[in-house]
Amino acid sequence: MKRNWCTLILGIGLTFSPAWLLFAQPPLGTPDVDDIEYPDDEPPDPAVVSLGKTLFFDTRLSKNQKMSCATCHNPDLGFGDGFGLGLGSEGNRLGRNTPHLYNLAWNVLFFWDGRAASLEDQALGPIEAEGEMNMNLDDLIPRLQKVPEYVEAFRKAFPAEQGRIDKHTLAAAIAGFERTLISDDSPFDRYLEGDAQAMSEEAKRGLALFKGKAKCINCHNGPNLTDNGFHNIGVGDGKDPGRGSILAGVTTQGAFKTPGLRNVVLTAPYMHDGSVGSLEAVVRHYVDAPKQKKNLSPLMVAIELDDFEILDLVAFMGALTDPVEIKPPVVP
Amino acid sequence: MNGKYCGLRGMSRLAGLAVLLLGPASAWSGEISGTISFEKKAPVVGLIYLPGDEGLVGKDGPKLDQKDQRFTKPLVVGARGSKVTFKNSDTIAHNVYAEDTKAGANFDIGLAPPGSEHETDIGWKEGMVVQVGCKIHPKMRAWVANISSRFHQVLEFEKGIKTYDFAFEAPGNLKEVRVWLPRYDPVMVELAVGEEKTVDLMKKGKKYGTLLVKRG
Repeated sequence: MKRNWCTLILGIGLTFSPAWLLFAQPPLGTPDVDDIEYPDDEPPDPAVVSLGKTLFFDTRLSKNQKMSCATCHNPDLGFGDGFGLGLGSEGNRLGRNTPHLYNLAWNVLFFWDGRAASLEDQALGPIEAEGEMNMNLDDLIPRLQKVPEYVEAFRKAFPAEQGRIDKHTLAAAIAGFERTLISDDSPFDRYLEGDAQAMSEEAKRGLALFKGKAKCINCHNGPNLTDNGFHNIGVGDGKDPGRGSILAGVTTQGAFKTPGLRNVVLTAPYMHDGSVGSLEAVVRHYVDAPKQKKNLSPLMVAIELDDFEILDLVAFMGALTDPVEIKPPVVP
Repeated sequence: MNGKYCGLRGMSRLAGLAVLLLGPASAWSGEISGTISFEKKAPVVGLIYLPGDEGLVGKDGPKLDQKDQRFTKPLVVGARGSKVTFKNSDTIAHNVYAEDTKAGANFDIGLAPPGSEHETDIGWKEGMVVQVGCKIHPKMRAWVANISSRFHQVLEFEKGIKTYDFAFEAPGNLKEVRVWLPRYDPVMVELAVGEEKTVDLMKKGKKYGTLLVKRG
């Protein structure tokens, strides 16, 4: 989005500097909207996004009409819910932490275990899940069809589909909105553009550690600070197979998706089970040898950081903050 | 046509590869050429080939490397009976797997440490292009084609460019041209010498591009 010659020069400098050559990962950077793989190879119509936003906030999407997507993915809580484990519409605890939604437009697989191959697949999952919104789509479609504002909004958003309200257009609208939740103007991005004052000295030291001896960049790399991969990092009791429940293999057991770190200070608590409350504690998880070692990723090697270095890393993660402000729509 | 044009660069690259493939003294009687253009975004890669030749059978198989959390090539071509070598030149462990029941390709090399190499038989259906990935890093994707024909060209598309020219020498007896693009409907065109055809490139029932192909 924001491209100028400063970025180019800095990018070239980073690419060819000897320090950068120490690393062999996709470089950190600002996300490029040209890299988004849209289902139809182009951004959705604004009418689709607007409809998706309204649906995202509508409690009609849950069986008891008490829960919307935004209940758990609360924009004011970093598109999370602040809980360690998510909540279902009946107040029941779920098995994993509610993931944030920042910059999912660049993501590859969705949910902690990657069981959804597209945002469209993901969008319908929690709606239908018995323990979450518990809404049968066969009941939801007529519920929406009874709302004149939705009939009109679907007609505007999906003219090629004759305004049909079905699971495909429903998913396309919600996913279309979610792809607009883009965070790309953090202090780190401004620093990359050439503003040397955009990040504090602590954050700059943290960046060097992030790319260097802390080895964070092994997994948290690329413009969204994620390899979009799945790794067993020894969190929890090892009973949740994670990716291993979706895809067999030695590399998938107990592995969970690497979350992107943009706006990470807003998305506590952390890890797939929400068991870690602060970013400082997250870093200490990697410094202290994990207690759960079964199928541990080979990337989980020993690192040594002192207390000041840990705080520098946290400062760098703070420099990844660019909140996405969402004004809740008027739900019909 | 919409978009940028990279015909000359594409032509020179293709001509160079054709020389490497066929040898400087090749004297094939014809040429396949044309233009492929996309209405929106080009896919990562494509493959154009002429079935009916067996020239790659018995030759060494291709090598697909992993580096910087990417496959170093988007697509490699090997013939039946050969093996594709998966190499890990990265600093971290990877994996390579395929799950394509339609093609008959189902393999998983397990954990591939840095520096490792692993050979896998190209034993799936001929003419099928199989997607391979890394279970640890799902964004890493590449394709391996089981093609026996020496008369093929891998088209590596670039971000922001929508129109590509291609050209390569081909014997006159091979009339059929096939084009494969990921997630697109496969394209088959019969061409007599001097003939030119235009074909829509379709995906999920929608037109996403156009292929103009001619035989000189």
